[in-house]
Amino acid sequence: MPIEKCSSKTGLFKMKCDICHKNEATIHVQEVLNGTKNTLNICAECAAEHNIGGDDLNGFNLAEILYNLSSQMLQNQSDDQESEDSNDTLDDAPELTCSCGWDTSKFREGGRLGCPECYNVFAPILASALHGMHKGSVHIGKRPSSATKIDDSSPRPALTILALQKELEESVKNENYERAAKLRDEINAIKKAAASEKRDKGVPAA
Amino acid sequence: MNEYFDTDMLLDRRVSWLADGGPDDDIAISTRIRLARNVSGIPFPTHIDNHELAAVIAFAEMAVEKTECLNDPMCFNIAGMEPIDKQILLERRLVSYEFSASPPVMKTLIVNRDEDVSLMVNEEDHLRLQTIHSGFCLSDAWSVIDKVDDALSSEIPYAFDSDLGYLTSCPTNVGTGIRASVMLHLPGLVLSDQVRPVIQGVNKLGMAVRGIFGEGSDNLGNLCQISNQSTLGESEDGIIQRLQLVVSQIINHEKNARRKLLRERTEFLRDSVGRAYGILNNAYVMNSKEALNSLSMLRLGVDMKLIKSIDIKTVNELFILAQPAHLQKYAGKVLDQEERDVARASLIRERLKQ
Repeated sequence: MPIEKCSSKTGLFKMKCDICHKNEATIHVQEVLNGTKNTLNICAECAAEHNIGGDDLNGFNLAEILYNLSSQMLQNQSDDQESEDSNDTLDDAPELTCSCGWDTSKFREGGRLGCPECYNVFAPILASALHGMHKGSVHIGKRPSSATKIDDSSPRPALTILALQKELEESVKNENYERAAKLRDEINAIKKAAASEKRDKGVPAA
Repeated sequence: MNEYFDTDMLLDRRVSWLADGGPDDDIAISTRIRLARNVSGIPFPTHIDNHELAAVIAFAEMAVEKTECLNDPMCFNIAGMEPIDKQILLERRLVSYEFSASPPVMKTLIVNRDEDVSLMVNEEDHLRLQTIHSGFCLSDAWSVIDKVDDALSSEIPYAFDSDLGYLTSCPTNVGTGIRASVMLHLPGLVLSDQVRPVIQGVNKLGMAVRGIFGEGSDNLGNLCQISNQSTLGESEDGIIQRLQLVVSQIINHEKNARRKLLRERTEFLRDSVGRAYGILNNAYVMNSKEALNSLSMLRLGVDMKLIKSIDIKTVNELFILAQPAHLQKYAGKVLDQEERDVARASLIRERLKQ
């Protein structure tokens, strides 16, 4: 298990090396490949051995590491008999799929999720991974203001635009250009209305 | 905000996070805070089509316009940009590497006039709000970006879960979605061979280090960036205070190292600074790495008042202008690497003479 909690009262993390899993990781490598960022925590010895920044470490997969890490944590927990329900490692875990189309293998590939709802769907896999990444498992920071409690009867302009744009796309596909032109005008009208609402709030003309 | 801007208009403007000066700016170059936010009910940018990406952009532009949370905003259409223009934005630290390098999907950048608050739309998350300031000023930066976030959240329904906080594409950002970082210039610790243990100590405290041996083994300009790693289970204030403590300690170590060098190894220090100054003044071909490392030594010399004829602002400006895209924009044409090395040396010689 590459991450363990320090016994000190500060609750800080001590990380073990992702390569040898023995020494403490003191070097944290971030690498960007085709726009995707990967992180690796390793000890000085393994860094020297693998010539960090050289070819050996190119293309390592953060998701794979997190995923393995998460499965190892589950294994360790069950070994320690601290957990009641985690006898299965992730290899045995059922294939999960979110309504947005995201599934376990996509999560495994890139370490990213598909949509906000994925956090519920992938919760069984995420719980232990989050525990390893963060200081706690519950959010205690700021909360968004009113907009998030959205009133469905009066959708916000941007959500309306989103719906209209989808319809527009459909219309074009079906070669219903008349409808498409109407939709385009509607979208532009909403955009204009939003902009003029701001102007009406009144910045005096120079 | 349907009109998009050209990066050329940025070139004659000062970069406020470098030019303005701030607390401890002899060691802390800049402070940056970014927040990751997503729109509720829409899949993350990696998983949606162009129409939905366009809707997110329209959403963000409308919210910025309506709330007036960015002063006199400029909007850049990233997808339609030439690589050199994206590089300009990257060199001015207005966008992340991922934002400028990933495939051309529909992305925009909205920046305020002072270039200290920016909003990346459709990066890995729908919205990445960022603020960048000169020197070491985490709480000021937080209060700026906190206000922008509040304003936007009055218009945009964020993807938020009461247990997990702000939901982000990558689970490493979930919770507060905050990444606070300070860029430090640590030539004193490097010259006195103390940087490794300091950086290792920082890692032990749960902070991420990029640069000086923290990432790869290459040292570029004795610069490194310290940032928080954990985003869940701690409040924004808690995260910032912890980073504040760690960075203050590093700054003290660097100050002590500089004092000790001056007291006990004066000739060595003067030699390191003097050689760098000599190279910068007289070289005709200079690559990026040599420029950065020599400018780092020159900055140390100016900070420690060993060189009095050069203004710190000139040195700071050169850090930006000597980068490849800025060099080519000033030259007004595409330059290959050899031509850039010549242009860089010539620019540095000229600026140092002024």
